[in-house]
Amino acid sequence: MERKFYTNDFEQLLRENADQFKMAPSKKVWHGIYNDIHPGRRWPSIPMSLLFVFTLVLVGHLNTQQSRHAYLTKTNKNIELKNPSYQNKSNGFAAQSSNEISGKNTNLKSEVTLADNNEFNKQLSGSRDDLIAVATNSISSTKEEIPGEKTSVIAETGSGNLFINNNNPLNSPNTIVAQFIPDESNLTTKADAIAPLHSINKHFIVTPSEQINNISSESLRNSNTVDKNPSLANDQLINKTPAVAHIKIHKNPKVNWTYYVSPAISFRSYSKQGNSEDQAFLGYITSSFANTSFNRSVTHHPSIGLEAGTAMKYSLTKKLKFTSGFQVNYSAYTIEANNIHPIIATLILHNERTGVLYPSSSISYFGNGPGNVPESLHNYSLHLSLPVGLEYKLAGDNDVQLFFAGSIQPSLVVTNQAYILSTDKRNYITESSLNRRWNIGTNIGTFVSFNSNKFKWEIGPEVSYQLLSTYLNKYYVREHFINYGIRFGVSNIIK
Amino acid sequence: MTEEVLLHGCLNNIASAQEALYSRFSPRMLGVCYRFARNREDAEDMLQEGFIKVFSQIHQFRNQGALEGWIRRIVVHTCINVLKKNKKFADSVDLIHANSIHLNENNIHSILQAKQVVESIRLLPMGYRTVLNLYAIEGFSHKEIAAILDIEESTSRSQYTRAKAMLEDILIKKKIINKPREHMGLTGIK
Repeated sequence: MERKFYTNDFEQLLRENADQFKMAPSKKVWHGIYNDIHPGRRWPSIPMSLLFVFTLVLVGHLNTQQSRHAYLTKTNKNIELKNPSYQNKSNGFAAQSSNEISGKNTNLKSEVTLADNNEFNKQLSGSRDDLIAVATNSISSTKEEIPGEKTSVIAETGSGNLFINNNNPLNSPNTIVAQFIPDESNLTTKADAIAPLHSINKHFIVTPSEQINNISSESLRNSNTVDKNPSLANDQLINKTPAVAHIKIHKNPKVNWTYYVSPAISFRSYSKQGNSEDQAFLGYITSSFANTSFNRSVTHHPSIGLEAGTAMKYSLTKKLKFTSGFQVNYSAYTIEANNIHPIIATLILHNERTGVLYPSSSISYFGNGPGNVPESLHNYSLHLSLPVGLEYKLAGDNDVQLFFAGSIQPSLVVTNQAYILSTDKRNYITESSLNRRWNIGTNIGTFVSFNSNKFKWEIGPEVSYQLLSTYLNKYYVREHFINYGIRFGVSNIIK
Repeated sequence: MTEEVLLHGCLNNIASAQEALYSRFSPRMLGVCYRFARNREDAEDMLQEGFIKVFSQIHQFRNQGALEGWIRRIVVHTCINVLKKNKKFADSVDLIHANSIHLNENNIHSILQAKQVVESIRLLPMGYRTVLNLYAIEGFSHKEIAAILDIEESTSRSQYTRAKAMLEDILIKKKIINKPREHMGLTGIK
């Protein structure tokens, strides 16, 4: 470029005045530049995405729970409303039978009432609970044997003709599902209705009630429409089986959600990497103060930390569970410092690629250690993490268990405040560019899990450790957070 | 913080050093952009684009001149590139006879002389303004301007002559200069 000499006063005037003219750019200009040259530090995007996904999962989970609860509530109301009318209508003959289901730990009694208008009232009663079913058309039913130690009862109506009251599980959280589909065919005898029921289900024992027209369960079981005439039974099954009542047992759900919070005491540990500190001092620092041990040069106090989140637990085996979820970690500690007149403090950093040392200076307002004007500086870090881990059942029975748990937690640093000690250890400065944006934590602990009414509670000690340093490797000090906490967790017992 | 430390920090992509460099030079560079741009928003866009180039190309700085001059050159080129994307600008700078402007005295703000001069420059048509900025203030030759703006060298000269005459009239009306152009001087300075 050819620089021109100003040949007259006009250009001189313009040049001088134009050079003096300054304008203050708005902050958004720097933000735009920063986001462009540091694309990995666009902090709002990733956390917001994670938060969005988490919110979706949470809303979906809560919705599922509410839908189930609403369904059961509606079913109960239907039973209450239908029963009186049914009682009035059932003026013909009725078949009532008591069914008894023998499981490993449970006894289940069932009563089936058949009205002349083909309405059924089926009641299953256990040691702790009742199950009432009302069907307006003919029904055949099947029931599978309860395979687990624990069973509970849940009802589903195929076309709205069966109403089941399920107040409590049958000593257990396993599931019986009853599904009744109305039969359009005309079943004229009780045997027509009953026969498929116990011909299909060998475990569903029908016991007749004395009150109901001398119909005994034995006669029903030995009814010629079923046992003595298999072909007829088959025909009935084929032609009249639209009236089907399924009672199925579901095992415990393998997946459940736990919500937990862990108040903790937050500590930090310091270490230095390699001999970069010495190299730094060799080249740049002559302060004798800098030669003291790093840990002895600072006065830090632990602070309150917190972990909170939700975890999905998937049973891999009876004793082993896979866990994953979403968690917020807060770690902090306090620095004992003092207010000073602002001075330039220097950090010696090293280029990770070339290993070349270079100084980075910032204005410091705080001196290290207590002084004339003491000041408590708060270093903290807020992470969003996605823990992935395992839980192993060490001991326990159905109600109380002892678990050992461990997890790895990849995390994103949402925000933090880090007062960094200058290389000469005299001052604290803030240097956000040295903070690591991603980190990995680990967590181990034990907890006791126990059931209480509708909830399963967890409580136990745990330790969390931040595997990577808070700072990038260019800073010679490694800082790791350690949290000692007590975990409180709760999950809903799905019945 | 010295310029050398800033430069070293920027070379290592340290945000605080970059921010310090930006804070030091951005006000003056925004003034440069403002002389080229239609309004402040456009000027800030130019500034942003210019500094992104500065930070991405800072390793090319050879310490053979002032850092500010190097940054300024990048910013000016960025401004020209932004202007050239606008077709109207290409038309305006290529016109031999630009439309004369009517100076509205109400638009004249006399807060500071530097600001008045800059605002007076901004009253010029875009083509005039650009050539005048490049030649009189940024020190480009007409040959360089012709190459930068893709116009004839003679066009650049004539644009500058007309721009200069027009600006002189404006400055006289604003009483920034108090003499005819043959004997020009600053008010209160001469």
